[in-house]
Amino acid sequence: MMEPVDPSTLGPLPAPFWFIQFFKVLGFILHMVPMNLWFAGMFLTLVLYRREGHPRQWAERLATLMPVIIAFGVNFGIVPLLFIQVAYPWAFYPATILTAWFWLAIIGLLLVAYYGVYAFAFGVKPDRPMPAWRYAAGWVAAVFFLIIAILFSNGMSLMAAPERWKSIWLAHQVAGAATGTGHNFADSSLWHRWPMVLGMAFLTTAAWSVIDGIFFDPKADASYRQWLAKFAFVIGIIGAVIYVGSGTGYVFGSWPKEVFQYMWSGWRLPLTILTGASPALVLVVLFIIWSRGLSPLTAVLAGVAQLVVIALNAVSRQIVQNIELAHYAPVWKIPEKPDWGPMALFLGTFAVGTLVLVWMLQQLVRVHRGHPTVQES
Amino acid sequence: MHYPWWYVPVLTAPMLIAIIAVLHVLVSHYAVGGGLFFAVEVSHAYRTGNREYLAYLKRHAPFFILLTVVFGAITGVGIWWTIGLASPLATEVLIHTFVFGWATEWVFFVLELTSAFIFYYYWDRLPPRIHQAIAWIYAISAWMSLVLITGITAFMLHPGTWLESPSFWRGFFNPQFVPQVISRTGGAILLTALYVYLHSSLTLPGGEVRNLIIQRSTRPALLGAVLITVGGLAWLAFLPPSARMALEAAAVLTVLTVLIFALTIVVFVLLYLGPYRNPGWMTPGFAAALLLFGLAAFSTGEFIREAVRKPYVVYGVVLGNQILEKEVPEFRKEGFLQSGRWTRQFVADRYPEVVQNGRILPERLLQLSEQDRRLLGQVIFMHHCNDCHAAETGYSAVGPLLFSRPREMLVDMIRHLHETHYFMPPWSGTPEEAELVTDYLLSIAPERPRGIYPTLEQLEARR
Repeated sequence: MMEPVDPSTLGPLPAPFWFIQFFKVLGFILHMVPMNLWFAGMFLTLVLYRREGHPRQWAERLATLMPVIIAFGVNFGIVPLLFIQVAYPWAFYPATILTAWFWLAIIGLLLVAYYGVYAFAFGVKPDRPMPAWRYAAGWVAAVFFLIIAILFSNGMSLMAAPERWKSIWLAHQVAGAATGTGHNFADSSLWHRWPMVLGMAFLTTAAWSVIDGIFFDPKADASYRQWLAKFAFVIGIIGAVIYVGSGTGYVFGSWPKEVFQYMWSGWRLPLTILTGASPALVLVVLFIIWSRGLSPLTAVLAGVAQLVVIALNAVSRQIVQNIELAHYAPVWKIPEKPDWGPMALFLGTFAVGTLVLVWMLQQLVRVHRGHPTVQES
Repeated sequence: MHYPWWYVPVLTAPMLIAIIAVLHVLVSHYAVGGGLFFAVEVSHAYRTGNREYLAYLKRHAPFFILLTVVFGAITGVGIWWTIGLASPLATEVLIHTFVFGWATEWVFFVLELTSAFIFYYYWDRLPPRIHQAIAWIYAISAWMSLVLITGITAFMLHPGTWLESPSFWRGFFNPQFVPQVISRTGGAILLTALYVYLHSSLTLPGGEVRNLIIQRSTRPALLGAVLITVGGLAWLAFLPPSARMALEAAAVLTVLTVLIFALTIVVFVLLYLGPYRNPGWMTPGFAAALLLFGLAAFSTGEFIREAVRKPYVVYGVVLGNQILEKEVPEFRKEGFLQSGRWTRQFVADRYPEVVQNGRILPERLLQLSEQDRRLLGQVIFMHHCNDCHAAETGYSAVGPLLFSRPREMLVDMIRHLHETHYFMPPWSGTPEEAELVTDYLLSIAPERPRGIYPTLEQLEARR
């Protein structure tokens, strides 16, 4: 075990700790939605693209949106990455340096996967077969996304396990310098957390499918929506089973004793139970959709329920992370020296940026409602 | 030395930052300049009702998106990845100082992405006025990203009054901020024109539209060349004294700097005489040569910008070897191995006999076997020197640099590192640790190659 860090020796945080945590969690939630869609969605798209009828229609729809989904997923991932480096550099940097080549591989894999998605998406033409290389590129992307998720969990699970650093470092070093070939694949929490995210990804894809089918997809007719209701319920069940199964293993099989005791007591107890049980909420809504048909209200409910699943997961994970790291450096004891001026600049830009974003989206809504196009005007 | 050091054989870890950063910069400047290009040219095409020109711009858009949104964005994240891996302390200092600068830039990045996709995917579906407005939102957001990031990277070269009184605003509006914003804006505009030349010469057979595109792209390119020159001269004027001296002292940097200024002026003349006056000259080969030329000049500029900062990563704050400048006296007193969290742990684990009450005793280090002294010397080399120097072979390898120096000279040089070469960081260890590093360096120094002036002993032997 590396010697613990004295939090009073760390540089002061430029914002209150709650502020950093809030944006880290918010950014993670924003990132999770598109990330979930490429994580499970790309795989489902490739499988269903080779089928006829509604499955093909669904696959074509998600495939054409996938480049945009990835762009926003990567973009939203910047926020938690930024704030994690503000509050936890003493844990984040050692973990990623010890596993440097695996960590850096994420960038190369992502670049190839992203171009693979474009190659696949640009090849999607209704009633026309896709060239084999484009379809293969899609598969490369889907497999790379799965690997990226493992490599990400590798770094993040090691970050929260300082007690493992020393043995990994000493096993992968040259004259005390890390070779970057260390890994955390022997940590069982990694193999529980990775499928947990996969389970959530199926649930998010299910929720997105019903929302898109009722609100956005211009080609969605009654028959397609009927199929969609059943499809969403089926992948929702798959997701919930994976999530609950791996989540149970994660909580009971890999949580250290102090984390377990903390999360199963006091106000954390209902949070822990809710985090584990929340997919049931999504399943109930998806069941209603399947049995009574898709409506705007039930689609919104499915989306909200899945956001609750993701949010509960992100909040719980944040609390667990703080406890896991507490014996190495109690984060709440790090001195704070808020920089209010630049914080106001960020919040002001955030507010104005949101308004501009809303205006741009409004223009799209107008287009979809039949505003005159350039040819007509 | 609060973090583990990542050993990358031959290259050294920071070189990975350089590689990814250069690749990113070549595309990210196009992302900024391309925004202005689309905003101005789409407005022109709509205003003049030139449908052929509009059709070309529409064809250019996917090329732009595929390059900037995918390669540009992912390599941008790649820079984040590598600076955290290869320069963690400097990254920590920058993030603590500028977290809200980066957060603000992220807002512009969201706007950039959204507007880029709307601009491209809703082409022919949005009313022209809205389409142009979206293009301008993209252009402004992309340029604001450049401004915000430049404030932070310029700070690394010259923090200005921040050193006396640290604050976000003092750090952001540093002496290098305006010069670098001017030159980067110019670079973005010029580089975009070179991308447009290549794309248009490859996709358009020739004729009026191609000539119009090339001619219209050359006007901002000429402006870009002027901005690069003005910004570059201001960059020179506002360099910190040590950086200016490094520029003058290192022959390669002097040559490259003069070359960049000279070539920018030559490019200006070429652009005026060629594409501006005679757009028909622009063949794919000529366009490709110009673009390659531009990319090489850009990469060289980035190299110079990085090189003159030595021995710092953040001037006056963080040294290249991941030590805070203010920590050096303590390191020299307490010992380099003792002061580093990971080196201390390594010694305690491997050589408990030199540790007493949690402290490494320098005098005991010299009592170790020759092999162990070399290993500890290598440990110090890795954490003190490997950020800029490979060992035996590779980037700026120390073996070939130091061969055939007598031991006493080598020890003395190490102990007075920054006095021997002012662009080297100060020695941050004890005299005993300097002996250890010497043991290691002597073990990797190559044989004296033929053709090098012989040693005095050899000359004596020949008599």
